[in-house]
Amino acid sequence: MCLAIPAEVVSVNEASDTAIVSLGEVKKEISLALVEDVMPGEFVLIHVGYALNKVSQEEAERTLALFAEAGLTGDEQP
Amino acid sequence: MSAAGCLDITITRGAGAGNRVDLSSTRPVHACRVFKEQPFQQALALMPRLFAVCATAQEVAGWRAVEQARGTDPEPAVEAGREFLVQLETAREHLWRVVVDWPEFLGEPARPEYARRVHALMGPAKQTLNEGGWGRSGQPDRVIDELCEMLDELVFRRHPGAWSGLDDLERLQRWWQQTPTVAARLLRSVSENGWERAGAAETCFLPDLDWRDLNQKLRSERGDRFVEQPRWQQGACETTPLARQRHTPLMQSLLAEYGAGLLTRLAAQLQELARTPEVLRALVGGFAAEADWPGGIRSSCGDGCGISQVEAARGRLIHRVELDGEKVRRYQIVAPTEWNFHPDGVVSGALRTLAGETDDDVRQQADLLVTAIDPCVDYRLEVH
Repeated sequence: MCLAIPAEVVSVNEASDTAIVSLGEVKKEISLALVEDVMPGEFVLIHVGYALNKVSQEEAERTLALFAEAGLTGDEQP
Repeated sequence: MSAAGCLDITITRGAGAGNRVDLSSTRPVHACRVFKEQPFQQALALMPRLFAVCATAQEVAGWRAVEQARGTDPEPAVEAGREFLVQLETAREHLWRVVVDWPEFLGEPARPEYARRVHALMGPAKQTLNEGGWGRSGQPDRVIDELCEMLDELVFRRHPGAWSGLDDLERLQRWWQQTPTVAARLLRSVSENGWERAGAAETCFLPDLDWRDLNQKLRSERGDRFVEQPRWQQGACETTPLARQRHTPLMQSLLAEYGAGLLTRLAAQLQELARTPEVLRALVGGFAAEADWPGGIRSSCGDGCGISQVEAARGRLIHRVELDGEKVRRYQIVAPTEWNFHPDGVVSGALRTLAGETDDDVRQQADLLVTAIDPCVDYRLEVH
């Protein structure tokens, strides 16, 4: 299935148009090429290294709960 | 492992007798089990949130399967609108490959401003359909015009309709020699490297699937195994843009010259892109017969069970649902990646045939082939 994972933006590097996001305990660098005006503390959906969309914290939490229910979280690694 | 999963591909180069290819997947193919016991409306609302990449194709497949399970039929205009969005999503995914992945193969940076434009394609069309403005507001025509403009500028440097009229290899060669876009230069580069036939192994295209046989396979005790590694009539079949476009004159010309190799596969994605505006216009005009939409295939299996088959960007997407009243008793999805990246499937077969002077030669060809068939998930490739 083509899953996109919600992640919280920890920091933004405007020069490289990238961000560090938090996936549970794991931090990962992603591209912000597709979304504009992303700020630390916001949530994005990520897929193969790109942020696809911004989502609200509530929606991110609901989606992560869904993933947990499906047994898809808990073993994130970079 | 990430929640989205990953494909691990290892090529052990052979000496004259072909390569050994080991392919394994950690894709969460049973994620839709989360819908079990949920009211179907809730399951359908969750569908695009869970499967956010090809969200439209997944949502449409879900609605069609549920409608069949409940014995209801949507209005033709609703179906046309759904098909419009699925086709547009397919174009967006192919364009994404062209503006984000293909430049890397030429050693060039991706163009974020192009990627952003491509990514924004779906918004206005979805909004129009959600507001019930289908066919009245003129918005679908504006979306098609925008797509044409984008395809002209970023890919073909001519009207996509003119490109889709290219009907043989010679005309395609003239195009890539005269056109400065990434797409044209990538095809030229494949040709200059002599990689046109790379990965041209025998392949078996997924035929029309009889819903009775499909239902029997999926409802059986081995149904979950079928979801993980589907086979049809003993074969690990291919379902890709090439499978859909193979009857066009250009694809016939390329298949005759180079088989189902790298050049043919890349050109098949371009062919599908070039034809999208005319397909969309036919849908808007109400001229497309349902037989023209492979996505229109759906079947009621009785006993609250429905099946749908949608042609999504990467190939055929199958949904099967069993309802108990309003609640989901069982939900199964067979995605195109499981057909194409089956251990005995088209990608394995193609990678087995790759040859090159060095590991790096083989790796470059393998990367191009995997991207051309497009797994919709991260992959790790090892060549030794």
